Amino acid sequence: MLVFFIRRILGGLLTLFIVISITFFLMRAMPGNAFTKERKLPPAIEKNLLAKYKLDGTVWQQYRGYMSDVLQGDLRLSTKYRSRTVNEVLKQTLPVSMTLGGVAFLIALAVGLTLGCLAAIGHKTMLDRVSMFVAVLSVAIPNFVIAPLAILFFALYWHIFPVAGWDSIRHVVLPATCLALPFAAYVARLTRNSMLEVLNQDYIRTARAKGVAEARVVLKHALKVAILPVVSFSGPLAANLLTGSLVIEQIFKVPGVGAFFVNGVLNRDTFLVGGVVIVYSTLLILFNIIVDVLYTFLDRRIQLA
Amino acid sequence: MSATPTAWQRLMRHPTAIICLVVLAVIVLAAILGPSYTGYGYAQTTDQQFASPSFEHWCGTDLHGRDLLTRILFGARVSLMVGLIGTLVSLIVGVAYGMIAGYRGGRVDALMMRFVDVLYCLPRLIYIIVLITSLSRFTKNSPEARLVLLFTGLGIMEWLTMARIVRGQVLTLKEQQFVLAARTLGASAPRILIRHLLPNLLGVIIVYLTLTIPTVILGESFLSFLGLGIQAPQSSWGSLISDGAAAINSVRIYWWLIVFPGLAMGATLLSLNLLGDHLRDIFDPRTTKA
Repeated sequence: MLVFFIRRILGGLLTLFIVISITFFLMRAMPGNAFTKERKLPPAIEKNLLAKYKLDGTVWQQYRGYMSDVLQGDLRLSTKYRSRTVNEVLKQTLPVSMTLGGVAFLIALAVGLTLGCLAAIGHKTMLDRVSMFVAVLSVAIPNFVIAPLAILFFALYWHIFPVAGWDSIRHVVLPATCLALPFAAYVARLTRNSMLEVLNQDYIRTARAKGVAEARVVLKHALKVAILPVVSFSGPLAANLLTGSLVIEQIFKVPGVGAFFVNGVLNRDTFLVGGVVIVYSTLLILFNIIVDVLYTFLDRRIQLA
Repeated sequence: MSATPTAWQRLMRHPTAIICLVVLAVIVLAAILGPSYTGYGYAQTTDQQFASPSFEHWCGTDLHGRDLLTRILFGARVSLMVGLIGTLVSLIVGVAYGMIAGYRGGRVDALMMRFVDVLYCLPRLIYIIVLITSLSRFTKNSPEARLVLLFTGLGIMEWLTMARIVRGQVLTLKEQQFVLAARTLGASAPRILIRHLLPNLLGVIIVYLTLTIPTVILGESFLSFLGLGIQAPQSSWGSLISDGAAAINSVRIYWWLIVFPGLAMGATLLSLNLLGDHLRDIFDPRTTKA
C-alpha cells in the first residue's frame, strides 16, 4: 500500500512536470509576446515590460526561472490582467468553478446512478427504453444548446430561476444542472450496462433464492460491484467538472476560472494558462489515485502494487 | 474483410440503425444541394432583421437579415466536413501510433503510452488554440486555409483514445497463430501490420469512427461558440447556436435562432451516436451478451 502510494505520487509528479513543460513551451512557441497585440510600444518600454513579467532572456532561461518559481508556489504575474498575480486570480475564481462543478458532480452521480439502476431493473421494459433514449439524447445534444433553451423556459418564460449571475443558491441550479446533464447520461449508461452484467451472476441468484427483497438485492448486493466502472469514470469527471466548463460559465455569466483561461490563451498569458493547467492536472492525477484506493475498498480482490 | 457483409446485414436488422442512416443521408444531401436552392446566399443580408419563420424564410432570419435556413445548410457543410476530415486525421494518427506501440511492445510501448497519458492531462483547448494562433500568419488572407487548419487541428486533438484502443487490440492479436505464421514465412513488420493486423482491427476502428465524428463536430462547435472557430459571415452549427444564445434577452425572444441550428446538430449527433452504439453491439463480442 505504501509502495503503491509512493510510486503513484512520484509518477504523478513526473507527469505534472512534463505537462507544465509542454504547456510552457507551447505558449512560448506562439509568435510575438503578450504585449505585441496592442499598439506598437516603444522598444525601451517593451523591454521594461518583458523584464517586469520575467519574459526576457532566452526561452531556456525563462523556462528555468519559471520552474523554480513554480516550485516555490509562485505562479507569477498575469500579463493579461495586469498587476494581478495568477495566485490571486485562481484564489478568486477557483472556488466559484469548484462550487459549480461540485454541485454538478453530485447531480451527475445521483441522477445517473438512479436512472441506470431503474433501467437495469426494468430491462427491456418501457422504463429502460425511455431512460436510455433520454440518456443518448443528452449525450448527443451539446449543453450549449440545452443551456440557452433552459434559460428561455425556466428563466424568461416561467421565471423560476434567475437568467444568469452568481449571487445566491438559486443561481447555481440551472448552470449546475446543464453542466451535469451529459455526464449524468453517461453515468446512467455505464451503471445500466454493468448492473445488467452483475444481475446475471450466480451470487445474485443465490440472494434472490434466499428470498432477499429485490430492492435489497439491487441496492446492497449488486450495486457494490456494478458501481466500479462509475467509480473509475468519476475520477476524470470530477477533475473536469471542478475546473469548470468554459461554455456553461460563459452562458450563465458565472465568474469562474473558464473565462480567464480562454482569455489567457488568446492573449498569450503564459503564466495564467500555466496556473490553470497546473491546477487541472494536479486534480486529475489526485482523483485518479483516489479512484484506485476506492477500488480496493469496494473490491477486496484488488491488490494495490 | 469477409466480416463486412454480415456486419452490414446485421446492422440492417435494426430499425433504429436504418432510421439513423436515412437521417444522415438526408442531412448530407441537404448540405450538398441545399444552399443553392434556398434562393439566398449564406452571407446575403436583407432589411428584414429577426424575421420569424415564414414562407419566405422557413427558419426565419438573424440580426443582419440573413436567411437562417441557408446558413444552417451552409453550416452543415462546414460541420460535416470538420467531422469527416478531423476524424480521418485522428484515425490515421491514432491507428498508426497505436499499432506501432502495440506491435513493438516492451520499452517502446511503455514510453509511447506514457506520452499519451501525459497528453490526456493537457486541456485539449490549448493545443488547438496554439496551433491556430501560431499559424494564423499564413491564413490571414484566406478563410479556406483557416478552415483546413481548423479541421486538421481538431483531428489532432482526438487521436489519443483511438491509439489506446488500437494498441490494446494489437497486443492480443500479435500473439495469435496467424501472425506467427506470417512471420515465419518472412513477412516484414509493415506487411504484417497492414495486411494481417489492420483487417482484424477494422471492426473496432469503424465503431470508434462513428463515435469520433460527433466528438469532432462538438469540438468545432465548442470552439466556434467561444469565438475561435468559424468566422462570420461563414457559419457552422456551433457559431449559429452561439449567435442564437447571444441574441437571448428578456425583451424579445428569437427562439428560432437557437432551436433550428440546435435541431440540425442534435439530429446529426444523435444519429451518429445511435449508429455507433449499434455497430459496437455488432462488432464487440463482449457487449452482445448484455
